[in-house]
This record gives sequence, structure tokens and C-alpha cells, in this order.
Amino acid sequence: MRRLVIVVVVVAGLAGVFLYGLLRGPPNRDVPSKLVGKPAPQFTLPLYQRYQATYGNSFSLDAHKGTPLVINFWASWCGPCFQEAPVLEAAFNKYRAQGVLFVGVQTQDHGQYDAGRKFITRFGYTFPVGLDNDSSIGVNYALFGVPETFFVNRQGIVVYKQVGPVSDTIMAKEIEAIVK
Amino acid sequence: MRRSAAAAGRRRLLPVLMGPVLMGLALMGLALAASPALAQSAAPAGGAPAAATGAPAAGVGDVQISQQAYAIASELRCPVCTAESVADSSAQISVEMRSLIQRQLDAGRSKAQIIAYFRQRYGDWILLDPPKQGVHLLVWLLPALALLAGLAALGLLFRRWRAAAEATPQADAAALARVREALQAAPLGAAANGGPPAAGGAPGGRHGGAGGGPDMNSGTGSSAGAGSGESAPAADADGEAPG
Repeated sequence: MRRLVIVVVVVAGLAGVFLYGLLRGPPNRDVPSKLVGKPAPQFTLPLYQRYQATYGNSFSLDAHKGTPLVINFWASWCGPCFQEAPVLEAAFNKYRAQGVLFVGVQTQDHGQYDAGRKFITRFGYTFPVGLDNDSSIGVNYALFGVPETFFVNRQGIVVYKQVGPVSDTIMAKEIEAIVK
Repeated sequence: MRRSAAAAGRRRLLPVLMGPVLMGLALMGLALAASPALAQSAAPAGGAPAAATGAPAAGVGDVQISQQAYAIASELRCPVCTAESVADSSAQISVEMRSLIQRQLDAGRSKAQIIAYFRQRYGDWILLDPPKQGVHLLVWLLPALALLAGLAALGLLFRRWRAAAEATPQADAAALARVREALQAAPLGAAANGGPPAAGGAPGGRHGGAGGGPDMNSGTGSSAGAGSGESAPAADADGEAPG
């Protein structure tokens, strides 16, 4: 009898753990970023020609110290990047007056200059965009996929990393955090 | 007696085996629920286009890499794949990472330095095999410990079975005395044959009556020699004269 009780308790416990694992709902799928709370890695990004008159031939992070930055990584083949593109452009127009600068980094898209141009023309990006042709900037920012967006404060510290497309809500909240 | 001991052993084995099976199921459930799937719905795993907006140009820009670069890449996890190494994946980011590894090797960096470069950015997550240190040691030690524990449990179980099977059955003296009395009062052979006990028939003859034996040919016990040839010597051996 005692043996039976022990077996029942053990089996019930294991079954409970099993059920908990299955039924606890969607787990937090965010892969934690090592960069949050740390200085944003320096990079120099050659810009598409249409931005060179305004921002120079390339965008260098070091040259924008003291500026709140939104660094958006995207690719021309990426569906969610299309989804978030209008949000990004609208947010840039909304917050640029507060001194926030956006930069678009086309990555994991080796040699896809034409596809990149088509993309930025379609969405009318007015913030600087360039192609990270060897994806080295993406690796430096420990990207998992695209889109990913990093919010960098005036001190050059990564405050937040958004995995997946950004929304107006996220934009408002995180930009408020970096302009402080 | 041996058969019942073995059966009892098997009954005890069932819950013992159920434990590890259920434990495995529970761990599988947790692993399923906790798997760090990527948040991006459009990650180009394996180079397959994730959206209908164009192919991700898998493999574009791939460069010839050395054996050493391949070996390093095979220790790193492809960030957008499931359980695939950077060396084996055709996702664009893996292509770029392989190329980056080769460039770092060409620049004279060591394997340890290159691994450290990726760990610094992605954390231990980027390593296909967890490092054998700290809490990660559990991943390496627990399976071995579980195996040893299982073997020890089986060893104990087998020992108990063997002891149960080899144990001499113990009957208490009073019960034995009652059986002896009953046999003397009505010897088995006579009772089985349905007739009076044979003169001088010793109690305890296992095959009972003469001839074929009542257990084989019911009702023929009284006809001596009517049984099979094999039965007759058995009757002789039991000390009962046929006929």
C-alpha cells in the first residue's frame, strides 16, 4: 500500500511537471541581448547615394555621439520589415524634431543593392540607409534575424532591443526613454 | 514458488521503469515549452524565403573557407535555425558568419579568440555544445548520473529477484503435521483412484494408482497396464506393484 502511494505521488508529480510544461502558455521568446545596458558597438555604414548629400558618404556611429539613435536592421526579403517600414518612417518624421536620428541598416542581404533601393523608394525612407554588405554590423549587434531595432540613448548606451517589427506604441515608449 | 516470485518481481519493476519514462516525458514537455524560438517570423532559416517578397539569396556571398574555419563554424549555432550549426546552415547570416570566421583567421586570430568574439556578442547561446563549466556542467553530468542510477536500480532489482527465487520455502511445523495426519488418514493414491487404499500402499506416491496413472487417464487407474508404456515404470518406481 505504501509502495503504491509512493508510486502514485511520483507519477502525479512528473505528470504535473509535464502538463505545466505543455500548458503554461507561450514562453517569452525574446532571446536576451547582451547589448542592452552596454555601449552600442561602433560601425561605419556606406549609405545609398540618395542620402549622401544630407548625411555624407557613410554613417559613423562615433560621429553622432550625444544623439538619441534608433538603429533598425532590415532586409529586402523580409516580410515583417515591410510591415514595420511605414511605422519607422512616420516615427522618424514625428520625433526628428526632438533630435532623434534613425538609421536603417540593410543586412543579411549580400549584394542586394537594387532590392534595397526598391525597398527604400517604396517606403520613402528619409532617414539614412545603407547596406551592411558582409553582415558584419549585424553580427556585431548579435542579430538573430530581421527586423531588429536598437534604441540608443544620448550616452551611447543600448536601452532596448526590439525583436520583430516595431509598433507605434513601442516607438513612443522607447523613444521617450532615449531622449531623456 | 519461483514463478510467483518472478511475477512479483516483474510487478515491482513496472513502477520502477515508469519513473524514468515519465521523467523523460516531463523533460520533453519542458523543453518544448521553453525552446528559445526566434521572435522574428521572417528569419531566413535554412535559406528558405520567409515572406512572399523575394528570395533571401541564400548562399550568396559564400566564400571558400578553410578546414579550420569550418571546424570553428561547426561549434557555433546558426542564429536563425533550429539545432543547426553555422557550418551546416545555408541561411544568409551563417554564410556571413563563416566568411567572418575566415577573415578573422586570415587576420591571425586564434580559434579561442574567434569563439570568444561570438560569445561576447551572443553569449553562451551561440555555442552548439554548452560549455563544460558552471551550471552548464549539469547538462553533461545529469545524463551520466541518471544512467548510473538506472543501472544501480536494475542491479538492486535483479539481486532481489534472485534472492526471492533462491529462497527455500518455509512451512510452519503445525501445518506440516496436519498435512501428514491427513495423508495417513487418506493416502493420496487411494483417494485419487476412487477406491480403497491398496494394501500396504505407502502414502505419498506421486503418481498414485497403478498403470497409466489417474492424472493422465482418468478412470483407468484400476486396469493395470492399460496406460502408456511410459507410465508403467513410473508406477514401479513409486513402489506400487501393478495389478
